[in-house]
Amino acid sequence: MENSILEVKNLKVDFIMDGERVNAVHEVSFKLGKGRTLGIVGESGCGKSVSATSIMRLLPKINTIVDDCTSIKLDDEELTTLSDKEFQKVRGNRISMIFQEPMTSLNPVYTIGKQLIEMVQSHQKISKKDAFETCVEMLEKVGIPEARKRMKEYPHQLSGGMRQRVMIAMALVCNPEVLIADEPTTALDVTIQAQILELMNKLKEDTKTSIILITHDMGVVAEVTDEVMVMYAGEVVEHDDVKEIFHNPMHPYTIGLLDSIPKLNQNTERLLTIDGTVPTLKNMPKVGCRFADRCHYCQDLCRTESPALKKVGTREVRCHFAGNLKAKEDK
Amino acid sequence: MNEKVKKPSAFKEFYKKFIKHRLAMISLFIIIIEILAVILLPLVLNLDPYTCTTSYDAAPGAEHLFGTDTIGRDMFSRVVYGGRTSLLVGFAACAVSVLIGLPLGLIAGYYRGTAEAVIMRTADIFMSFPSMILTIVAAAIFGSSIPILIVLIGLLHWPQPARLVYGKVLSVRKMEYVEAAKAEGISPFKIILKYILPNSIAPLWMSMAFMVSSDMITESSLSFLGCGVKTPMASWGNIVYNAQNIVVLRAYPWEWIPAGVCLIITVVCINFVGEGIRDALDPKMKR
Amino acid sequence: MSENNQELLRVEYLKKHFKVKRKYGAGKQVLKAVDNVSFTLNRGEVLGLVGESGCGKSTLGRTVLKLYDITEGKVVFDGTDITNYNFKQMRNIRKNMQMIFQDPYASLNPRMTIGDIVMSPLNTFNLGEKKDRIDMVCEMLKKVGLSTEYLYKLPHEMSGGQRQRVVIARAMISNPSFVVCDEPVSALDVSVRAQVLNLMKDMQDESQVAYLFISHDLSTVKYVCDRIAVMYLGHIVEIAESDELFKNPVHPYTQALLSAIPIPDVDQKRNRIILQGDVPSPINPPQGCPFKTRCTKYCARCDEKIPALEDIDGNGHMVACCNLD
Repeated sequence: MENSILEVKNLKVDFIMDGERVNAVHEVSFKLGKGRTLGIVGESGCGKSVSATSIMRLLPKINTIVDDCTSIKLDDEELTTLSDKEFQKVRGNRISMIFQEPMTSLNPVYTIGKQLIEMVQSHQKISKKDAFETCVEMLEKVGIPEARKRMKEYPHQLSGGMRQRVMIAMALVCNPEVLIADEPTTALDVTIQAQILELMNKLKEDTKTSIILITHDMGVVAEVTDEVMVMYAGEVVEHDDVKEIFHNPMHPYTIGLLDSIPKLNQNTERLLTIDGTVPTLKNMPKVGCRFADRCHYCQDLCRTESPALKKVGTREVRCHFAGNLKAKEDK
Repeated sequence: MNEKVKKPSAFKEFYKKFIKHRLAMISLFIIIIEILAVILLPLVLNLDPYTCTTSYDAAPGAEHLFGTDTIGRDMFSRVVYGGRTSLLVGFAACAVSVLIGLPLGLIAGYYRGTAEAVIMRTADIFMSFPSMILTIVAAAIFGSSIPILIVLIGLLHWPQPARLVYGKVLSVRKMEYVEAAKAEGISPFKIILKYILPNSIAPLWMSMAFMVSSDMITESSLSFLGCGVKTPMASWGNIVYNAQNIVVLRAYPWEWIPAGVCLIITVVCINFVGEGIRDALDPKMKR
Repeated sequence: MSENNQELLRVEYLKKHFKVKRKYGAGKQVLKAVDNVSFTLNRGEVLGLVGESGCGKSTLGRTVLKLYDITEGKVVFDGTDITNYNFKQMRNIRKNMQMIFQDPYASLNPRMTIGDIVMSPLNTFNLGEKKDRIDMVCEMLKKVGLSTEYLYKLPHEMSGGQRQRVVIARAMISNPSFVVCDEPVSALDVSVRAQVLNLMKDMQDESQVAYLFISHDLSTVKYVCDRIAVMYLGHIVEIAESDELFKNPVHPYTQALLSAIPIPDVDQKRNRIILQGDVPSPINPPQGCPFKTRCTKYCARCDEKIPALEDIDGNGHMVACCNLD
């Protein structure tokens, strides 16, 4: 991946909860290639949203600590050293974000048009009239019929799917280099989700924007992404090309995750499960592999030593025994 | 099957959490001392709040701990006796309001429809009516003994808890656990008692503190207007109101500061205790 | 599951309409959440009910349980017509019909201990001796995979998956013959989902309870259900055996719905049918076939009347569409 647009190195985020410092994201590093889509998958609390929002600097300053060794480079420009004011110019303009809830992420008291135009004008020196035209064009691009009329409407007059389209339009109107989509279709119905995913695929081809897609739905990942990063308990456990991961998952968590989804195209007698639940931030295992307690393949080594991210071909995997897993003998 | 886990007592849990709330504990302590003082001191000290002595506006000293007022009555005795009236009226009137308002609010919020319309519109009427005038009229008709005052003030203030509880019930009744209870076939009465009430009472604890203090103030205003506790009987309210002229305010601060400070301390303490109770009853707060 | 083919629940032309206040000014409108729905459910059968949000599937589930009053139609449970039963009469029936809710964070009373929550149905229906009840609760908790140490815990001390186990325990302790499951796993994490689904399947195998399994997730429904009904805008548009529906979907909506689901398989490229537009509002449904505004096979016949369910293969595969040929 020569021409990467976004490079994140050693992202480490700690929260302060009830006076205790807990680790939410640990050593997340990845490169996002130009025009590629990276899927970040994991369950709630695995740190996928925290990673994204910390790239956007949207975490509350009061109780979060982003570690100093973290480096985030956008097109070879270091972002972590920028002041908040300088970062304003990056956010929304060069990196933008779509959120899960299209109902709450638009301001209900302003028209769609006003919000879009404000977005454009805050980043580009452009007359209001031109901005209006740009916005109408953008709305048409995301498949909103009668875009001119919609510009004068308020968010509550639109359906959920339409609102998410407006959100996408708003995120893309400044032609960002990177788009971070945090569960963009989770709140939508399947048929609407299909519309939005199709739209995102189309836009990606048209605009060559790189996308980070955060989701918990393996189906969505398989449909839209080029590469996948699986996260568990704040760590990247596996990262590779999407096809590779689905064909040959190496980390026990990825294997378990793929096995535990009911498949439409085959009959499953009984689902395989991952036992137990995700550890909360406060009872994260301090030593050893964070997945050890739920792992079918757990051995003594896993309890004592934290595995590092190993490279196996193009694959990065965080497991001591990646490639030669042996099931634990039941006692 | 016999590995019985011991059931933690609800009261112990509450107590454990409450004592962690330091401000609430201190406040509770102060209130208890106040109550004990107003009950016990007159019995031990042979206080006399009514007799006029010849030393008018005397400064605090050995003979009169808090000095005397304009007509020579001992201020210390008046503050202690005033505390009796004020605390009694404050707490009892608040209790009356809650006893009326809480069930009405629960019923209005849970059943909606006609009950809601009748109860909440009545509450609106009560709230928009100048309650002071109503009290004055009622006091004129029924007399102004302390029990009557308590009932009157309590009656007039019922819409406050009712509206508060009603608002909370509206959101609680939509929770799935209420629906689950219905699906289980639990009777409406039990649903209200076990599911709605415990989950909607939290805001009431705080507002009860306000109500106690506002009831004490209402009583003071009534006294001032001559419809409340009649002088020579004392209450903190009427002591402060009696000092409402510039000479007394500036030259004889002992005639109003003790009663005023008592009033403020009590109100603040009640607020903290309310907060403590609310937090201790919240299952999500850590032990 | 199939030998005991006795009918447990029959729903006939069920309608549930809500009156909605118009936004400005007076007057009321009618929201037809469930309109003319008929189906039957056999003993020990699992019937899936799928559809998008707002299609009336949850309302249908609740109306069958009589949590909502029935506007029109008939519900027959275990041979008795319960349509006009009042609260007291329903009480004797409720022991046999229970419900599992979607949000395990909202469906447990935060002020009650787990033990009290699970015991509550025993007290309500007066089951078992008073002193035995606690043991029954412990046994039930063990069955759903929770140790007895949770007996005196409060809901907020547990994870989502554990709470959903409690919800299942509460529904199952009175040994019901019919349970409505309203999106029981959609609020849970992926890895926990499978655990809960397996648990529900185990409970079903063991006690031969019948489920009405409401979900928007077709892959989940496929995993647990014997038969599936597809709902759209308050109507059932297709109902068939699970395998048959997936192999041979007939209604255009079912076809689109099936093709819209993202499949976790990187090799399979499918022909997607992407439906245009949004679901119409149930306050103002289209004349004739409810699906006609988004249908790919729209023709003049669709305007005329709401199509009725027709058995197309003589084997219980029913479809409501005007363009069956």
